[in-house]
Amino acid sequence: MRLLLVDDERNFVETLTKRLRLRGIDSDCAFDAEEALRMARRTRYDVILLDVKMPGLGGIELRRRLEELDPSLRFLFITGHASQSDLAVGSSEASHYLTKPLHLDELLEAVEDVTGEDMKGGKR
Amino acid sequence: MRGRTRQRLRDFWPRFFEARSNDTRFFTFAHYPRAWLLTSAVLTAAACFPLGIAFLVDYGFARREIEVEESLRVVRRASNAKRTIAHFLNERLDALRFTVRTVAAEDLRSTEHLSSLLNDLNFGFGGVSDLGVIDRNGRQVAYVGPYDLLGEDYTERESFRQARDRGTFVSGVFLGHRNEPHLAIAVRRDADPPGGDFLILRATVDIQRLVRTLEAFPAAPRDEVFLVDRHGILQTPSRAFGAPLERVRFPAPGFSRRTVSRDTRDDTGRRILVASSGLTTDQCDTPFILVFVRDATDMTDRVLELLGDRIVLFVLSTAGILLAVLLTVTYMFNRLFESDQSKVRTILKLEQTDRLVSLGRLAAGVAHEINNPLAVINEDAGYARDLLTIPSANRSDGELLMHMDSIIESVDRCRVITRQLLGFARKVEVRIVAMDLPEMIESVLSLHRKEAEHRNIEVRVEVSEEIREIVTDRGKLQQVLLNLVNNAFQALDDGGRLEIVVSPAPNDAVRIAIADNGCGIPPEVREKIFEPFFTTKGEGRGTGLGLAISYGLVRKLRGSMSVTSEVGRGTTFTIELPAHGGVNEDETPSGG
Repeated sequence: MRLLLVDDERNFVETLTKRLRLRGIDSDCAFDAEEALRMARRTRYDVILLDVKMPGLGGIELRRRLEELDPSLRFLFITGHASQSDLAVGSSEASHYLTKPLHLDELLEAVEDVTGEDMKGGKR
Repeated sequence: MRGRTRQRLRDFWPRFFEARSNDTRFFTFAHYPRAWLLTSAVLTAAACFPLGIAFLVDYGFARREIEVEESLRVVRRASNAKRTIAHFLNERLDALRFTVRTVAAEDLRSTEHLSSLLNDLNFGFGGVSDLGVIDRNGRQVAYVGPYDLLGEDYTERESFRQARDRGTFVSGVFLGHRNEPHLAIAVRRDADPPGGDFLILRATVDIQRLVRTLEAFPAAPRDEVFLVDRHGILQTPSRAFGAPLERVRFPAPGFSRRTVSRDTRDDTGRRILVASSGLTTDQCDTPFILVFVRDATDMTDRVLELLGDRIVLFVLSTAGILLAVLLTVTYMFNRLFESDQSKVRTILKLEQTDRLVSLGRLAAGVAHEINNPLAVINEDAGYARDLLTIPSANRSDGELLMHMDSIIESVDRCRVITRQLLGFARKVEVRIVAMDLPEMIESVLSLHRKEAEHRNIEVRVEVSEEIREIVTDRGKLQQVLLNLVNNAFQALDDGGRLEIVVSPAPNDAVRIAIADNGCGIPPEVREKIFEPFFTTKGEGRGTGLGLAISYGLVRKLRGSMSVTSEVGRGTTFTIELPAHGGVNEDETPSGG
């Protein structure tokens, strides 16, 4: 299980990565679309967490590019908007959208949801 | 009951005169009293014009009728008088003719016989002053009368010539030896047997009897009947038009055997009706023209009375029409005005709603802006907790400190945002203030900074050095700018450009141009863009009020707003506001 977190909010994504690593989940972070694409080419990820709004390429568009790279990739979106209904875009289910601030448990549940793997039962 | 009646009556009283509302941009008529006045005037004129024409035509006919009637009356009187005068002359001529037929030539030459003839004639008709007999050489061979005219030569006289040639003669009036107006009549006694010498019997007739006969004809006090000759010289006396043998004091009538009438004026300018007819006897024409003159004052009075009646009728009809028009038009305008007012009330209410919608959008933006630093804080705090609770974590003070600093920094970010928001909300309440325009633009744009960043939209603000401050209603200007910037962002494609240029305008005004290089507005849309409820955003996405309200707000700030646009090239909204302007605020109790 390997995660890639993409968000332009550096502090947020770096700290989140550290916390996931503490829980034994292999995680990397990228701060923009180009970096994310570069890393996805180099490494095989299972789940990619994307910020919906980013300078340059946004999360939705980036997901399309990444899917072209590897159709088996699973995606989660994260947004600063308070309500998910604001973002009825893309084809993913609403449950794959997470709102900021993020509860770590919710993130892990969502990852389990998209991968089918039990993560909380594993190491914390 | 009485209250309802009063309410009904109020419907017919123009209410839009006292009503004051500067929200006339939503009114059917910008200036109600003027439109009301114009409509009433046009309707009244349209109704009264044909009426006026009808009255004029009717008056023309009636007047003509009066004039024709009067003229016929005058002609009739003149004809009667003419017949009587002709009869008067015929009688005397017949008497002379009878005499020359029955009296032998020798007897005519005898003075005694002639004298007894004169007595007989005076007995029969009266007014014969003398009697004379003229032979073929024009010499008076017998004479009875007050003068010694025996042997007088008549060869050059009309009486001799015409009697010789035509058999009968009537002279014009002359003074003669007696210095009294009289006329001469003469008949010829044909030679007996034929081929012998003829004689002419000539009598001088006093005109007093003629005058008395004429005096019987006038019907009205100022009517006059008299004789003139063919040169317009009076033959019998008249009261107003001269003495005998003077020229008559109006244009002289010509000789005509038919009686003709004329409508003319005398020398003093008085209007008169003149009927005239050339006088003839059974045997010959006479030099006389009978004239009947009637003063036209009575007729004029009748015509004026007629006109007066028509005018009174016309004025009454017009007043009736005017009243009907005024009541109807006023009623309609009142209804229209009421409907306009309720429209304005609705729109003003919607302006409030629009403000709430803007604030809602603002709140959503703010939430987004705050959620980001909150997320950072959440992770920092979560990580710090992890470090303290997860044994395998390799914690160091330096790392903890770094995350604490990050928390503090994020809190600072939140504080900036909340302060901006508070400023925004508080300043809505303030009325007219002097304010820093660039700062205000910045505060409006700050709500879109993130979006601009994400969508790669270039935002450029250029404020002319001369303008730092503007005195106006902050809340209103903010609402307008927010609205226009929102619109621009909606029109822009990702990677587009938004420019806000502030520059001075004439008359101490400030021009704010908000230009985007988005999709542009087609001309047919541009025409309606400031109309309320006009939207292109589709069902449920826009109220269609944003620009209408902005337009209204700018007007309230005594400013103007315009738009230029080119499809595919972009749109520029330009606002001009007085730099030190007041506000048209007093009029709307619910406004603002």
